[in-house]
Amino acid sequence: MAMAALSQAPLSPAKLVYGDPVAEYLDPYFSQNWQLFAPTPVSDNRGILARATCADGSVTQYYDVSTRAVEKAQDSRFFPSREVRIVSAHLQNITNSEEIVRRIRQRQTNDKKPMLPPLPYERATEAEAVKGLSRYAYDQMPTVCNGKAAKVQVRMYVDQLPPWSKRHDPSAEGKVLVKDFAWQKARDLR
Amino acid sequence: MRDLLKNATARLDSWSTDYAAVTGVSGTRLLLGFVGLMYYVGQYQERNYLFGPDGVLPHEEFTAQLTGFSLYALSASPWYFQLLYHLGIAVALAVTLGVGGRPGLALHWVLLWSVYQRQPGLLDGGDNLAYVVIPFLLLTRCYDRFALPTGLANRLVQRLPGRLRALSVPFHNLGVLMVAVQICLVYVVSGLYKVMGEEWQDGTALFYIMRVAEFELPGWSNLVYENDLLVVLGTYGTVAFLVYFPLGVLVPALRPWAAVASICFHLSIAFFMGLTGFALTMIACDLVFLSGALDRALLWARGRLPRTWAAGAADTAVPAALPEAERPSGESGTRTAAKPV
Repeated sequence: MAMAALSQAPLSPAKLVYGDPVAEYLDPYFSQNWQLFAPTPVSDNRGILARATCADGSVTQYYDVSTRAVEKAQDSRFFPSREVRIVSAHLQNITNSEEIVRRIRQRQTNDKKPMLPPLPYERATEAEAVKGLSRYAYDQMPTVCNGKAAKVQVRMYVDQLPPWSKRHDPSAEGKVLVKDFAWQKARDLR
Repeated sequence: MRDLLKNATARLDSWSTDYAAVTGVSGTRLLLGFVGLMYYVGQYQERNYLFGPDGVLPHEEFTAQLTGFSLYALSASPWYFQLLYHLGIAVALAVTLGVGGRPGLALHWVLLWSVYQRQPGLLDGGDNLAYVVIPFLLLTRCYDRFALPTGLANRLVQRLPGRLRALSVPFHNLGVLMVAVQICLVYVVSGLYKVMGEEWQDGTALFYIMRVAEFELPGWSNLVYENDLLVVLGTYGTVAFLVYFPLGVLVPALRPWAAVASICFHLSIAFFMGLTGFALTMIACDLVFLSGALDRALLWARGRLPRTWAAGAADTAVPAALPEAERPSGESGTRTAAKPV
Protein backbone atom coordinates (compact mmCIF):
# COMPACT_ATOMS: atom_id res chain seq x y z
CA MET A 1 0.00 0.00 0.00
CA ALA A 2 2.94 2.32 0.71
CA MET A 3 4.19 1.69 -2.81
CA ALA A 4 0.78 2.45 -4.27
CA ALA A 5 0.79 5.69 -2.28
CA LEU A 6 4.24 6.68 -3.59
CA SER A 7 3.21 5.93 -7.16
CA GLN A 8 0.33 8.36 -6.71
CA ALA A 9 2.22 11.12 -4.91
CA PRO A 10 3.01 14.37 -6.73
CA LEU A 11 6.46 14.61 -8.32
CA SER A 12 9.08 14.85 -5.56
CA PRO A 13 12.76 13.97 -5.02
CA ALA A 14 11.72 10.63 -3.49
CA LYS A 15 9.58 9.89 -6.50
CA LEU A 16 12.40 10.69 -8.92
CA VAL A 17 14.60 8.10 -7.20
CA TYR A 18 12.11 5.35 -6.29
CA GLY A 19 9.25 6.08 -8.68
CA ASP A 20 10.38 3.89 -11.57
CA PRO A 21 11.12 0.63 -9.64
CA VAL A 22 7.88 1.05 -7.70
CA ALA A 23 5.84 1.65 -10.85
CA GLU A 24 7.47 -1.42 -12.37
CA TYR A 25 6.47 -3.52 -9.37
CA LEU A 26 2.86 -2.35 -9.45
CA ASP A 27 2.56 -2.59 -13.22
CA PRO A 28 0.25 -3.62 -14.70
CA TYR A 29 -2.18 -5.26 -12.28
CA PHE A 30 -2.02 -2.71 -9.46
CA SER A 31 -1.15 0.38 -11.48
CA GLN A 32 -3.45 3.28 -10.70
CA ASN A 33 -4.15 6.91 -11.48
CA TRP A 34 -6.28 9.09 -9.23
CA GLN A 35 -5.69 12.55 -10.62
CA LEU A 36 -9.40 12.69 -11.64
CA PHE A 37 -9.96 16.17 -13.12
CA ALA A 38 -6.90 17.57 -11.32
CA PRO A 39 -4.78 19.59 -10.99
CA THR A 40 -6.21 21.31 -14.08
CA PRO A 41 -9.85 20.44 -14.76
CA VAL A 42 -10.88 19.86 -18.38
CA SER A 43 -12.18 23.12 -19.75
CA ASP A 44 -12.41 22.50 -23.47
CA ASN A 45 -14.31 20.38 -25.94
CA ARG A 46 -11.96 18.20 -27.92
CA GLY A 47 -12.85 16.17 -30.92
CA ILE A 48 -12.02 15.34 -34.50
CA LEU A 49 -13.21 16.15 -38.00
CA ALA A 50 -12.11 14.13 -40.99
CA ARG A 51 -12.03 14.35 -44.76
CA ALA A 52 -11.25 11.84 -47.46
CA THR A 53 -9.57 11.70 -50.85
CA CYS A 54 -11.52 9.62 -53.35
CA ALA A 55 -10.02 7.33 -55.98
CA ASP A 56 -10.33 10.08 -58.64
CA GLY A 57 -8.25 12.47 -56.52
CA SER A 58 -11.11 14.74 -55.39
CA VAL A 59 -11.08 15.80 -51.74
CA THR A 60 -14.32 15.77 -49.74
CA GLN A 61 -15.71 18.24 -47.19
CA TYR A 62 -14.90 17.82 -43.51
CA TYR A 63 -17.14 15.36 -41.71
CA ASP A 64 -17.95 15.79 -38.00
CA VAL A 65 -16.77 12.52 -36.46
CA SER A 66 -17.07 13.26 -32.73
CA THR A 67 -20.53 14.72 -32.19
CA ARG A 68 -22.54 11.53 -32.69
CA ALA A 69 -20.67 9.68 -29.93
CA VAL A 70 -20.92 12.67 -27.57
CA GLU A 71 -24.69 12.78 -28.05
CA LYS A 72 -24.85 9.04 -27.44
CA ALA A 73 -23.09 9.56 -24.10
CA GLN A 74 -25.44 12.39 -23.10
CA ASP A 75 -28.43 10.33 -24.09
CA SER A 76 -28.44 8.09 -21.03
CA ARG A 77 -27.59 8.42 -17.34
CA PHE A 78 -27.60 4.69 -16.70
CA PHE A 79 -24.28 3.30 -17.92
CA PRO A 80 -24.14 5.57 -21.00
CA SER A 81 -22.18 4.62 -24.11
CA ARG A 82 -18.42 4.88 -23.78
CA GLU A 83 -17.78 5.13 -27.51
CA VAL A 84 -16.85 8.82 -27.13
CA ARG A 85 -13.80 7.72 -25.16
CA ILE A 86 -12.22 6.09 -28.21
CA VAL A 87 -11.55 9.59 -29.54
CA SER A 88 -10.78 11.28 -26.22
CA ALA A 89 -8.31 8.56 -25.17
CA HIS A 90 -6.36 8.91 -28.44
CA LEU A 91 -6.36 12.71 -28.15
CA GLN A 92 -5.14 12.45 -24.60
CA ASN A 93 -2.26 10.24 -25.73
CA ILE A 94 -1.32 12.89 -28.28
CA THR A 95 -1.55 15.95 -26.01
CA ASN A 96 -0.34 14.57 -22.67
CA SER A 97 3.31 14.24 -21.81
CA GLU A 98 5.05 12.90 -18.76
CA GLU A 99 5.12 15.26 -15.78
CA ILE A 100 8.91 15.69 -15.73
CA VAL A 101 9.11 16.31 -19.51
CA ARG A 102 6.21 18.74 -19.27
CA ARG A 103 8.01 20.76 -16.60
CA ILE A 104 11.24 20.89 -18.62
CA ARG A 105 9.35 22.20 -21.64
CA GLN A 106 7.49 24.75 -19.54
CA ARG A 107 10.74 26.08 -18.13
CA GLN A 108 12.22 26.29 -21.63
CA THR A 109 9.21 28.27 -22.83
CA ASN A 110 9.51 30.64 -19.87
CA ASP A 111 13.25 31.12 -20.46
CA LYS A 112 12.62 31.56 -24.20
CA LYS A 113 15.04 28.72 -24.91
CA PRO A 114 14.61 26.21 -27.75
CA MET A 115 12.02 23.61 -26.77
CA LEU A 116 12.83 19.94 -26.30
CA PRO A 117 11.67 18.18 -29.51
CA PRO A 118 9.24 15.24 -29.23
CA LEU A 119 11.01 12.20 -27.80
CA PRO A 120 11.06 8.98 -29.85
CA TYR A 121 8.47 7.28 -27.65
CA GLU A 122 6.24 10.35 -27.88
CA ARG A 123 6.43 10.19 -31.66
CA ALA A 124 5.57 6.47 -31.61
CA THR A 125 2.59 7.11 -29.32
CA GLU A 126 1.32 9.87 -31.57
CA ALA A 127 1.66 7.74 -34.71
CA GLU A 128 -0.32 4.95 -33.02
CA ALA A 129 -3.01 7.40 -31.89
CA VAL A 130 -3.32 9.03 -35.33
CA LYS A 131 -3.75 5.61 -36.93
CA GLY A 132 -6.44 4.70 -34.40
CA LEU A 133 -8.28 8.00 -34.93
CA SER A 134 -8.06 7.70 -38.71
CA ARG A 135 -9.50 4.19 -38.63
CA TYR A 136 -12.36 5.27 -36.38
CA ALA A 137 -13.06 8.29 -38.65
CA TYR A 138 -12.94 6.06 -41.76
CA ASP A 139 -15.47 3.67 -40.17
CA GLN A 140 -17.74 6.60 -39.26
CA MET A 141 -18.08 7.81 -42.86
CA PRO A 142 -18.96 4.66 -44.79
CA THR A 143 -20.81 6.49 -47.59
CA VAL A 144 -18.04 8.93 -48.47
CA CYS A 145 -16.65 8.51 -52.05
CA ASN A 146 -19.32 5.82 -52.53
CA GLY A 147 -17.54 3.74 -49.93
CA LYS A 148 -14.21 3.83 -51.78
CA ALA A 149 -12.10 6.46 -50.04
CA ALA A 150 -8.41 6.16 -50.87
CA LYS A 151 -7.02 8.32 -48.07
CA VAL A 152 -8.29 9.84 -44.83
CA GLN A 153 -7.06 12.88 -42.95
CA VAL A 154 -7.98 13.69 -39.35
CA ARG A 155 -8.21 17.23 -37.98
CA MET A 156 -8.14 17.62 -34.20
CA TYR A 157 -9.88 20.61 -32.65
CA VAL A 158 -9.64 22.02 -29.14
CA ASP A 159 -12.50 24.40 -28.39
CA GLN A 160 -11.52 26.37 -25.29
CA LEU A 161 -14.75 27.50 -23.67
CA PRO A 162 -15.07 31.12 -22.45
CA PRO A 163 -13.51 31.64 -19.00
CA TRP A 164 -15.34 32.28 -15.74
CA SER A 165 -14.66 36.03 -15.97
CA LYS A 166 -16.78 36.20 -19.15
CA ARG A 167 -19.64 34.04 -17.91
CA HIS A 168 -22.18 36.90 -18.10
CA ASP A 169 -21.07 38.07 -21.52
CA PRO A 170 -23.34 36.42 -24.11
CA SER A 171 -21.08 37.49 -26.97
CA ALA A 172 -18.03 35.75 -25.45
CA GLU A 173 -16.66 33.07 -27.71
CA GLY A 174 -14.16 30.34 -27.07
CA LYS A 175 -10.85 30.00 -28.82
CA VAL A 176 -10.55 27.13 -31.27
CA LEU A 177 -7.19 25.50 -31.94
CA VAL A 178 -6.82 23.11 -34.85
CA LYS A 179 -4.19 20.58 -35.84
CA ASP A 180 -4.13 18.50 -39.02
CA PHE A 181 -2.48 15.10 -39.02
CA ALA A 182 -0.89 13.29 -41.95
CA TRP A 183 -3.06 11.59 -44.56
CA GLN A 184 -3.49 7.87 -43.93
CA LYS A 185 -4.01 5.34 -46.74
CA ALA A 186 -7.33 3.54 -46.41
CA ARG A 187 -5.79 0.15 -47.15
CA ASP A 188 -3.43 0.55 -44.18
CA LEU A 189 -6.47 1.11 -41.97
CA ARG A 190 -8.74 -1.73 -43.08
CA MET B 1 0.15 1.72 30.56
CA ARG B 2 -1.28 -1.65 31.54
CA ASP B 3 -4.66 -0.57 30.22
CA LEU B 4 -3.07 0.41 26.97
CA LEU B 5 -1.36 -2.97 26.66
CA LYS B 6 -4.56 -4.78 27.54
CA ASN B 7 -6.37 -2.77 24.94
CA ALA B 8 -3.76 -3.60 22.33
CA THR B 9 -3.86 -7.35 23.02
CA ALA B 10 -7.65 -7.26 23.02
CA ARG B 11 -7.51 -5.65 19.62
CA LEU B 12 -5.01 -8.19 18.38
CA ASP B 13 -7.30 -10.93 19.67
CA SER B 14 -10.31 -9.54 17.89
CA TRP B 15 -8.19 -9.11 14.74
CA SER B 16 -7.56 -12.86 14.70
CA THR B 17 -10.95 -14.10 15.95
CA ASP B 18 -13.70 -11.70 14.73
CA TYR B 19 -14.62 -11.12 11.14
CA ALA B 20 -14.94 -7.36 10.54
CA ALA B 21 -17.41 -5.73 8.17
CA VAL B 22 -18.69 -8.98 6.62
CA THR B 23 -21.93 -7.37 5.43
CA GLY B 24 -19.98 -4.40 4.09
CA VAL B 25 -17.61 -6.43 1.91
CA SER B 26 -20.49 -8.64 0.77
CA GLY B 27 -22.20 -5.45 -0.44
CA THR B 28 -18.96 -4.41 -2.13
CA ARG B 29 -18.77 -7.75 -3.92
CA LEU B 30 -22.40 -7.53 -5.07
CA LEU B 31 -22.12 -3.97 -6.38
CA LEU B 32 -18.76 -4.55 -8.08
CA GLY B 33 -20.24 -7.64 -9.73
CA PHE B 34 -23.16 -5.58 -10.97
CA VAL B 35 -20.94 -2.81 -12.40
CA GLY B 36 -18.82 -5.47 -14.14
CA LEU B 37 -21.97 -7.07 -15.52
CA MET B 38 -23.14 -3.71 -16.84
CA TYR B 39 -19.76 -3.14 -18.52
CA TYR B 40 -20.58 -6.15 -20.70
CA VAL B 41 -24.33 -5.62 -21.01
CA GLY B 42 -24.15 -1.86 -21.56
CA GLN B 43 -21.86 -2.36 -24.55
CA TYR B 44 -23.43 -5.57 -25.81
CA GLN B 45 -24.80 -4.02 -29.02
CA GLU B 46 -21.42 -2.54 -29.87
CA ARG B 47 -19.28 -5.42 -28.65
CA ASN B 48 -18.05 -6.48 -32.08
CA TYR B 49 -16.86 -3.00 -32.99
CA LEU B 50 -15.36 -2.12 -29.60
CA PHE B 51 -13.81 -5.45 -28.61
CA GLY B 52 -14.07 -7.81 -31.57
CA PRO B 53 -11.11 -9.10 -33.63
CA ASP B 54 -12.24 -7.06 -36.67
CA GLY B 55 -13.34 -4.01 -34.70
CA VAL B 56 -11.85 -0.57 -34.20
CA LEU B 57 -8.67 -2.10 -32.75
CA PRO B 58 -7.88 -5.07 -35.03
CA HIS B 59 -6.55 -8.19 -33.34
CA GLU B 60 -3.04 -7.84 -34.76
CA GLU B 61 -2.54 -4.29 -33.47
CA PHE B 62 -4.15 -5.20 -30.16
CA THR B 63 -1.66 -7.99 -29.48
CA ALA B 64 1.22 -5.71 -30.49
CA GLN B 65 0.14 -3.01 -28.00
CA LEU B 66 -0.82 -5.32 -25.15
CA THR B 67 1.00 -5.07 -21.81
CA GLY B 68 0.22 -7.83 -19.32
CA PHE B 69 -2.14 -10.56 -20.41
CA SER B 70 -5.58 -10.73 -21.96
CA LEU B 71 -7.49 -13.90 -22.77
CA TYR B 72 -8.78 -12.08 -25.86
CA ALA B 73 -5.24 -12.13 -27.29
CA LEU B 74 -5.16 -15.94 -27.49
CA SER B 75 -7.15 -16.29 -30.70
CA ALA B 76 -8.34 -14.01 -33.51
CA SER B 77 -11.38 -16.20 -34.19
CA PRO B 78 -14.73 -14.36 -33.95
CA TRP B 79 -16.24 -17.46 -32.32
CA TYR B 80 -13.65 -17.47 -29.59
CA PHE B 81 -14.34 -13.79 -28.99
CA GLN B 82 -18.11 -14.39 -28.66
CA LEU B 83 -17.52 -17.31 -26.32
CA LEU B 84 -15.26 -15.30 -24.05
CA TYR B 85 -17.54 -12.26 -23.98
CA HIS B 86 -20.62 -14.32 -23.09
CA LEU B 87 -18.67 -16.29 -20.51
CA GLY B 88 -17.72 -12.91 -19.01
CA ILE B 89 -21.41 -11.98 -18.72
CA ALA B 90 -22.30 -15.28 -17.06
CA VAL B 91 -19.48 -15.05 -14.52
CA ALA B 92 -20.24 -11.40 -13.71
CA LEU B 93 -23.87 -12.36 -13.12
CA ALA B 94 -22.77 -15.18 -10.81
CA VAL B 95 -20.63 -12.75 -8.79
CA THR B 96 -23.56 -10.35 -8.49
CA LEU B 97 -25.92 -13.08 -7.30
CA GLY B 98 -23.34 -14.55 -4.98
CA VAL B 99 -22.97 -17.92 -6.69
CA GLY B 100 -19.63 -19.61 -7.21
CA GLY B 101 -17.76 -18.21 -4.23
CA ARG B 102 -14.28 -16.80 -4.34
CA PRO B 103 -13.02 -19.04 -7.19
CA GLY B 104 -15.82 -17.47 -9.27
CA LEU B 105 -14.67 -14.03 -8.21
CA ALA B 106 -11.10 -14.84 -9.25
CA LEU B 107 -12.34 -16.01 -12.65
CA HIS B 108 -14.39 -12.80 -12.94
CA TRP B 109 -11.26 -10.74 -12.31
CA VAL B 110 -9.37 -12.61 -15.06
CA LEU B 111 -12.18 -12.12 -17.59
CA LEU B 112 -12.77 -8.49 -16.62
CA TRP B 113 -9.06 -7.64 -16.82
CA SER B 114 -9.01 -9.28 -20.25
CA VAL B 115 -11.90 -7.26 -21.62
CA TYR B 116 -10.48 -4.05 -20.08
CA GLN B 117 -7.17 -4.63 -21.83
CA ARG B 118 -8.92 -5.37 -25.11
CA GLN B 119 -9.81 -1.65 -25.34
CA PRO B 120 -7.95 0.33 -22.63
CA GLY B 121 -9.14 3.68 -24.00
CA LEU B 122 -12.63 3.04 -22.64
CA LEU B 123 -11.51 2.75 -19.02
CA ASP B 124 -11.92 5.27 -16.23
CA GLY B 125 -11.03 5.51 -12.55
CA GLY B 126 -13.90 3.20 -11.64
CA ASP B 127 -12.54 0.33 -13.71
CA ASN B 128 -9.08 1.01 -12.31
CA LEU B 129 -10.40 0.78 -8.75
CA ALA B 130 -12.35 -2.39 -9.57
CA TYR B 131 -9.34 -4.34 -10.84
CA VAL B 132 -7.21 -3.19 -7.90
CA VAL B 133 -9.82 -4.02 -5.24
CA ILE B 134 -11.15 -7.40 -6.44
CA PRO B 135 -7.90 -9.21 -5.47
CA PHE B 136 -8.29 -7.78 -1.93
CA LEU B 137 -11.86 -9.06 -1.82
CA LEU B 138 -10.56 -12.54 -2.59
CA LEU B 139 -9.12 -12.59 0.94
CA THR B 140 -12.47 -11.79 2.55
CA ARG B 141 -15.71 -13.59 3.35
CA CYS B 142 -17.54 -11.46 0.82
CA TYR B 143 -20.04 -14.23 0.01
CA ASP B 144 -21.45 -14.48 3.55
CA ARG B 145 -24.35 -12.10 2.87
CA PHE B 146 -26.40 -11.08 -0.15
CA ALA B 147 -25.71 -14.45 -1.74
CA LEU B 148 -27.83 -17.29 -3.03
CA PRO B 149 -27.01 -20.24 -0.78
CA THR B 150 -25.59 -23.29 -2.52
CA GLY B 151 -23.94 -25.08 0.38
CA LEU B 152 -21.23 -26.51 -1.85
CA ALA B 153 -18.58 -24.11 -0.61
CA ASN B 154 -19.40 -24.95 3.02
CA ARG B 155 -19.00 -28.65 2.40
CA LEU B 156 -15.63 -28.09 0.74
CA VAL B 157 -14.40 -25.86 3.56
CA GLN B 158 -15.24 -28.51 6.17
CA ARG B 159 -12.63 -30.76 4.59
CA LEU B 160 -9.81 -28.29 5.23
CA PRO B 161 -7.72 -28.81 8.39
CA GLY B 162 -8.77 -26.58 11.30
CA ARG B 163 -5.45 -24.76 11.48
CA LEU B 164 -5.85 -23.60 7.91
CA ARG B 165 -9.45 -22.54 8.52
CA ALA B 166 -8.41 -20.40 11.50
CA LEU B 167 -6.21 -18.35 9.19
CA SER B 168 -9.30 -17.23 7.36
CA VAL B 169 -10.09 -14.57 10.00
CA PRO B 170 -6.86 -12.55 9.84
CA PHE B 171 -6.82 -12.83 6.06
CA HIS B 172 -10.39 -11.58 5.91
CA ASN B 173 -9.54 -8.62 8.15
CA LEU B 174 -6.43 -7.87 6.12
CA GLY B 175 -8.55 -7.80 2.95
CA VAL B 176 -11.08 -5.42 4.54
CA LEU B 177 -8.26 -3.20 5.77
CA MET B 178 -6.71 -3.10 2.28
CA VAL B 179 -9.99 -2.08 0.67
CA ALA B 180 -10.34 0.66 3.29
CA VAL B 181 -6.77 1.93 2.83
CA GLN B 182 -7.12 1.82 -0.95
CA ILE B 183 -10.28 3.93 -0.99
CA CYS B 184 -8.66 6.46 1.40
CA LEU B 185 -5.68 6.64 -0.96
CA VAL B 186 -8.01 7.40 -3.86
CA TYR B 187 -9.69 10.24 -1.98
CA VAL B 188 -6.54 11.82 -0.56
CA VAL B 189 -4.59 11.68 -3.82
CA SER B 190 -7.42 13.09 -5.91
CA GLY B 191 -7.95 15.76 -3.23
CA LEU B 192 -4.27 16.74 -3.06
CA TYR B 193 -3.93 17.07 -6.82
CA LYS B 194 -6.99 19.29 -6.79
CA VAL B 195 -5.47 21.52 -4.10
CA MET B 196 -2.56 22.05 -6.52
CA GLY B 197 -4.81 23.24 -9.35
CA GLU B 198 -5.47 26.91 -9.96
CA GLU B 199 -9.15 26.51 -10.80
CA TRP B 200 -9.72 24.39 -7.71
CA GLN B 201 -8.09 27.11 -5.58
CA ASP B 202 -10.24 29.77 -7.25
CA GLY B 203 -13.40 27.77 -6.59
CA THR B 204 -14.32 27.76 -10.29
CA ALA B 205 -13.29 24.23 -11.34
CA LEU B 206 -16.86 22.91 -11.32
CA PHE B 207 -17.85 25.68 -13.76
CA TYR B 208 -15.24 24.47 -16.26
CA ILE B 209 -15.82 20.73 -15.94
CA MET B 210 -19.60 20.80 -16.14
CA ARG B 211 -19.66 22.67 -19.47
CA VAL B 212 -17.54 20.07 -21.29
CA ALA B 213 -19.88 18.20 -23.60
CA GLU B 214 -18.53 14.75 -22.75
CA PHE B 215 -19.50 15.26 -19.07
CA GLU B 216 -22.61 17.38 -19.51
CA LEU B 217 -26.27 16.60 -18.98
CA PRO B 218 -28.03 19.09 -21.27
CA GLY B 219 -30.81 20.97 -19.51
CA TRP B 220 -29.51 20.15 -16.01
CA SER B 221 -25.78 20.89 -15.78
CA ASN B 222 -26.34 24.57 -16.61
CA LEU B 223 -28.56 24.92 -13.53
CA VAL B 224 -25.41 24.31 -11.51
CA TYR B 225 -22.69 26.04 -13.52
CA GLU B 226 -24.74 29.20 -14.07
CA ASN B 227 -25.19 29.58 -10.31
CA ASP B 228 -22.06 31.20 -8.83
CA LEU B 229 -22.78 30.12 -5.27
CA LEU B 230 -23.31 26.46 -6.22
CA VAL B 231 -20.10 26.43 -8.27
CA VAL B 232 -17.95 27.85 -5.47
CA LEU B 233 -19.53 25.77 -2.71
CA GLY B 234 -19.39 22.64 -4.87
CA THR B 235 -15.73 23.13 -5.80
CA TYR B 236 -14.49 23.87 -2.28
CA GLY B 237 -16.81 21.24 -0.81
CA THR B 238 -15.40 18.59 -3.16
CA VAL B 239 -11.78 19.36 -2.23
CA ALA B 240 -12.48 19.57 1.50
CA PHE B 241 -14.44 16.33 1.45
CA LEU B 242 -11.80 14.41 -0.53
CA VAL B 243 -8.85 15.55 1.60
CA TYR B 244 -10.57 14.97 4.95
CA PHE B 245 -12.32 11.69 4.10
CA PRO B 246 -9.72 9.48 5.88
CA LEU B 247 -10.16 11.51 9.07
CA GLY B 248 -13.91 11.02 8.83
CA VAL B 249 -13.27 7.29 8.55
CA LEU B 250 -10.79 7.09 11.44
CA VAL B 251 -13.25 8.53 13.95
CA PRO B 252 -15.92 5.82 14.43
CA ALA B 253 -18.67 8.34 15.22
CA LEU B 254 -18.07 10.16 11.93
CA ARG B 255 -17.61 7.01 9.84
CA PRO B 256 -21.19 6.47 8.60
CA TRP B 257 -21.51 10.20 7.86
CA ALA B 258 -18.32 10.21 5.79
CA ALA B 259 -19.59 7.19 3.87
CA VAL B 260 -23.05 8.69 3.32
CA ALA B 261 -21.50 11.99 2.16
CA SER B 262 -19.39 10.02 -0.28
CA ILE B 263 -22.40 8.13 -1.61
CA CYS B 264 -24.33 11.38 -2.21
CA PHE B 265 -21.28 12.94 -3.85
CA HIS B 266 -20.93 10.02 -6.26
CA LEU B 267 -24.63 9.79 -7.02
CA SER B 268 -24.49 13.40 -8.19
CA ILE B 269 -21.45 12.57 -10.33
CA ALA B 270 -23.41 9.70 -11.87
CA PHE B 271 -26.36 11.98 -12.61
CA PHE B 272 -24.64 15.12 -13.89
CA MET B 273 -21.56 13.64 -15.52
CA GLY B 274 -22.89 10.29 -16.70
CA LEU B 275 -20.11 8.33 -14.97
CA THR B 276 -22.41 5.61 -13.61
CA GLY B 277 -19.83 2.84 -13.49
CA PHE B 278 -17.25 5.01 -11.74
CA ALA B 279 -19.75 6.31 -9.18
CA LEU B 280 -21.13 2.86 -8.30
CA THR B 281 -17.62 1.41 -7.95
CA MET B 282 -16.69 4.12 -5.46
CA ILE B 283 -19.96 3.54 -3.58
CA ALA B 284 -19.26 -0.20 -3.53
CA CYS B 285 -15.98 0.41 -1.73
CA ASP B 286 -17.61 2.88 0.69
CA LEU B 287 -19.86 0.05 1.86
CA VAL B 288 -17.04 -1.45 3.96
CA PHE B 289 -17.52 1.54 6.27
CA LEU B 290 -21.27 1.02 6.48
CA SER B 291 -21.33 -2.61 7.58
CA GLY B 292 -23.19 -1.96 10.85
CA ALA B 293 -25.78 0.22 9.17
CA LEU B 294 -26.28 -2.40 6.46
CA ASP B 295 -26.83 -5.07 9.11
CA ARG B 296 -29.51 -2.97 10.77
CA ALA B 297 -31.13 -2.25 7.41
CA LEU B 298 -31.19 -5.99 6.65
CA LEU B 299 -32.82 -6.84 9.99
CA TRP B 300 -35.36 -4.08 9.49
CA ALA B 301 -36.16 -5.28 5.97
CA ARG B 302 -36.55 -8.86 7.18
CA GLY B 303 -39.04 -7.78 9.79
CA ARG B 304 -41.20 -6.37 7.05
CA LEU B 305 -40.97 -9.16 4.50
CA PRO B 306 -43.66 -11.85 4.19
CA ARG B 307 -42.95 -14.71 6.59
CA THR B 308 -42.06 -17.37 4.00
CA TRP B 309 -39.38 -15.12 2.52
CA ALA B 310 -37.96 -14.24 5.86
CA ALA B 311 -37.80 -17.90 6.91
CA GLY B 312 -35.83 -18.82 3.81
CA ALA B 313 -33.34 -16.02 4.29
CA ALA B 314 -33.05 -16.59 8.02
CA ASP B 315 -31.48 -20.03 7.55
CA THR B 316 -28.34 -18.60 6.09
CA ALA B 317 -27.80 -15.10 7.32
CA VAL B 318 -29.59 -14.07 10.50
CA PRO B 319 -27.68 -16.02 13.16
CA ALA B 320 -24.38 -14.70 11.89
CA ALA B 321 -25.67 -11.17 11.39
CA LEU B 322 -27.00 -10.75 14.90
CA PRO B 323 -23.86 -10.52 17.03
CA GLU B 324 -22.43 -7.81 14.86
CA ALA B 325 -25.58 -5.75 14.84
CA GLU B 326 -25.90 -6.03 18.59
CA ARG B 327 -22.51 -4.61 19.34
CA PRO B 328 -22.72 -1.35 21.28
CA SER B 329 -21.36 0.74 18.41
CA GLY B 330 -22.86 -0.64 15.25
CA GLU B 331 -20.47 1.01 12.85
CA SER B 332 -17.47 -0.57 14.47
CA GLY B 333 -17.84 -3.39 12.00
CA THR B 334 -14.65 -1.97 10.50
CA ARG B 335 -13.05 -1.22 13.84
CA THR B 336 -9.90 -2.99 12.78
CA ALA B 337 -9.80 -1.08 9.56
CA ALA B 338 -9.58 2.17 11.47
CA LYS B 339 -6.38 1.29 13.22
CA PRO B 340 -3.38 3.22 11.98
CA VAL B 341 -1.13 0.91 10.03
